[in-house]
Amino acid sequence: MVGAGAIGSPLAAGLVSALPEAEIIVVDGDLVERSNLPRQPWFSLKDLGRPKARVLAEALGSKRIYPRVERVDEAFAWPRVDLVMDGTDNWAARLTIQKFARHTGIPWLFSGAVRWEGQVAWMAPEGPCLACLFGSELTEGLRCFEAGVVGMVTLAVAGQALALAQKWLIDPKSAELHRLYLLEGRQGRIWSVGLPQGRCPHIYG
Amino acid sequence: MDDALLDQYSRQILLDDVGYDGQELLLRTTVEVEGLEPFRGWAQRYLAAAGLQVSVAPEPGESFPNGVRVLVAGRLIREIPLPGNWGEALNRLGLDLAVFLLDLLGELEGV
Ligand SMILES: [Zn+2]
Repeated sequence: MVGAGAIGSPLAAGLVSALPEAEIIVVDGDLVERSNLPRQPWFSLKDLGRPKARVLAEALGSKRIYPRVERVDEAFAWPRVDLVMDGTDNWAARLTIQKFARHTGIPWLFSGAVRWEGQVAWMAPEGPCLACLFGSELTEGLRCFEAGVVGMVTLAVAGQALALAQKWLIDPKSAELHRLYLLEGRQGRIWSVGLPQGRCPHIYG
Repeated sequence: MDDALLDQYSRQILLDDVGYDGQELLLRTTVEVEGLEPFRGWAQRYLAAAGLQVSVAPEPGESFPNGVRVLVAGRLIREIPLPGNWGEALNRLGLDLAVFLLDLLGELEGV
């Protein structure tokens, strides 16, 4: 779980409850800030200034959560994992995740939220990749600290990511994994678009 | 709101649908949640984190065993039936609580 923030917190909490076998490594180098509290309800005022990953692990109180207070960048020493979940809010971190996942041949789960909207996609080793979904120029859109975001929407995004992970465990070839999920919190709607079949043409060194 | 609260709720205040006045209204409003655990507890966390005062019904689990209900001043505002699958339940809960928040803001601002 990369990121112990607005998506990573409920996702880690949901994983612990939904998957009794799962061991979850939560990586986040950031410290708890006051403006995080509306979207990270496992944190409280007494946690301000403490590492998010550690606070989350303590709050969830599970022996199956392993916090790592580190940044995920080129220098990050990746552990052996079966799946990487994206709870970050920027393309640089996602590209680092994608590079590792492709190199290792494991899937990863893309997720993001801003304002009242969210997106979730299962990223299989053979594709799609971020370039398939968003084009090769990943221009940074408005991030939540500029545009605002609703905590309930980040919860919904985490729920959808967890639902896809559960589907994968039951049927790794499920067609439901090959879609981009779009969430809209003002109307409480979720819908999905099918992704092109076949192997993704993009190559990552 | 003092500076600390402004900072705390800044990402919500940035939203057109909330704004400074909307956040002030949320901070002054009490909602009640009841229904199925552990999802009632999740709803309570997220509503409180958004700035609402949250109270729990005396027998919170018995009134609505299929999901979560949110009430304001004893009046049912939103009933959220939840599927049995964890991921789908959290997804539904999050989306319906978002709609609840928007409806509540519309109602509070209309008073
Ligand atoms: Zn691609």
